[in-house]
Amino acid sequence: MSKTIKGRIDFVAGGVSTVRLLITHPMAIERTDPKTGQAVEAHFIESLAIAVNGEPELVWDWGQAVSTNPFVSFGLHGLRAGDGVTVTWRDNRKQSDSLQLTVN
Amino acid sequence: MNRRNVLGRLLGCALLPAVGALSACFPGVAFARQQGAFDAKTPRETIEKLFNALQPEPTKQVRIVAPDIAENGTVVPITIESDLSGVESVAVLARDNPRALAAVAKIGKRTAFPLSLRVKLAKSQDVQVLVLAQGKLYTASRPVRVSVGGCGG
Repeated sequence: MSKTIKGRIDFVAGGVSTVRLLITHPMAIERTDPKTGQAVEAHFIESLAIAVNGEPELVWDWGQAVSTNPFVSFGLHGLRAGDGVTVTWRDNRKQSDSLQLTVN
Repeated sequence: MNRRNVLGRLLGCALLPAVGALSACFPGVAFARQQGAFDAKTPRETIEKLFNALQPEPTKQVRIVAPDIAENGTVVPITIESDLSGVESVAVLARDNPRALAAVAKIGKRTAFPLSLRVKLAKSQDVQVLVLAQGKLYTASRPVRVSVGGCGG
């Protein structure tokens, strides 16, 4: 189980299933600390990749303007029971995490 | 976190040195990043970097669902709906942010609308969505007011 990604698939057989993802991430923008005047580096997810049965399907490229603890949702056509949906994020500090969801 | 704080942070943004190196190790994915679209300041520059010479055409086939008034500019839910077929990519721009581009999606054949995400808006502005479908670029935009007092004002 992934510690940072919560995911859920609302499965509709033969139709459009809805995938919802909630990722725990600071998504911090680059800024100057008001007290010390020092630059604080940005820390944000650059890429969120979704694959269906190992085939890349949807790739989000993000900038710093995506909100803290990102929530995304989207539809997927023609999922079948037993299909695997893999979600992987990677941030600008090369940290990453992934979650495997199974359609049922 | 108050609005002033958020504004200051967004304005304090500068270029990210590590971006180039990172996109290199994530091939085929970071196309927008490689082209420097995330560093572009203005919407026009962003669109040029993302879609080269394509001229966006306003359409009613792309609809943006967003609050008219966002009480908190750091979490503004955006939902994109479209009837277009053969969609290849979708870009979300916050036109008056220090850097206009918020997110770009590269979309496969099975992905379906609506797409939702939450973005940060530095101030009241238009949110613009660009959709590349069958080689043509479509656009729609929608104003979102970010309230100062946090009381819906």
